[in-house]
Amino acid sequence: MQLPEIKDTYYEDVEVGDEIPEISIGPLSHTQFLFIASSHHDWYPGHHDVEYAREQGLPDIFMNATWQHALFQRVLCAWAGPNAIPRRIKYRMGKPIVRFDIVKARGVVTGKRIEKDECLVDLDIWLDKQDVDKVTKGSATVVLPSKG
Amino acid sequence: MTEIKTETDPSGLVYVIGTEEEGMSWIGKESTPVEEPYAIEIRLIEHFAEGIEDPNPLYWSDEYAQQTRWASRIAPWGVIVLCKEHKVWRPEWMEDSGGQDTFFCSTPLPGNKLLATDYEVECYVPLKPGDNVFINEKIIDIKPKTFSLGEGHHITVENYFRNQNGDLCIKDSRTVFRYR
Repeated sequence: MQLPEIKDTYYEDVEVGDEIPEISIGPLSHTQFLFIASSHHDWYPGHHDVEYAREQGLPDIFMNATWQHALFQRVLCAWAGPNAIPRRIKYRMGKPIVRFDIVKARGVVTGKRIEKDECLVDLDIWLDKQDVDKVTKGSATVVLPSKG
Repeated sequence: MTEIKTETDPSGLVYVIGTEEEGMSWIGKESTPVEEPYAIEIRLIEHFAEGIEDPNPLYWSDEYAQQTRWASRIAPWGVIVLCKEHKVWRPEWMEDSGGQDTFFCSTPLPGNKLLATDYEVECYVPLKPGDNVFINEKIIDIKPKTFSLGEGHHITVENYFRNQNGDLCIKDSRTVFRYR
């Protein structure tokens, strides 16, 4: 087994306007929806029962908020490296993420600041689907390591 | 004594039904901390990472994690949802431990369905394998709203997650549309 190298993103190397590398997941199968409902202990039927979701006026079963947060955490941590911490992630869910969707998590740096000796980087973050942009959008602040 | 009216949705969530005025009087209410039944474990971290296909070695390898500032694996925030009981089924002889009440359901309001709309999560101290999680919540706001799904209320609740040392590890703010 070859462990990946530790790769950190340093505060000094980040510039406003930088896009972070996107990640993609999907097409999301019914199995993945059941896995998430079970592993998150989230048995709200809109997440696993297609008939129920459609009766509620939704197009299909949809991914929960914790899954979407985890996707944001994944894209931020993949970019920032293992010694960073995503201090704040905030988002609003618009159009639902449903079966067979392909979802991309993306982000762009909007600001940098040092507060209480912490090197903070602010980003706009969002999720795109194959046919709709920014179905979920929000912002994040990540604490990055410093070279200093 | 006033009888409490409840309704149950197909997932088994029990809603306390009341008027908007009754619900508004709950703004500011805070629960006492409760220990989650399951501690943070490596298998929970791996299970959670699997659900989002997260290859981050910090969640999968002790050897890798020991080379980082954390010196051990850490849990992505969402693992806290795996520390709760499932409660899809329990033996009849077992006492109901309660514990699944949240203000989203127990606040008296007209709605009998939920849809999450907004989340804000702040992480201060990462949770690690072996940590016990203590949670309490506070109602921040309730606002009447109408969407295509129906009429109801936006309820904003803050949750505070602490470890066994009392450190505030995570604070999250969730807004849910409770409607009928």
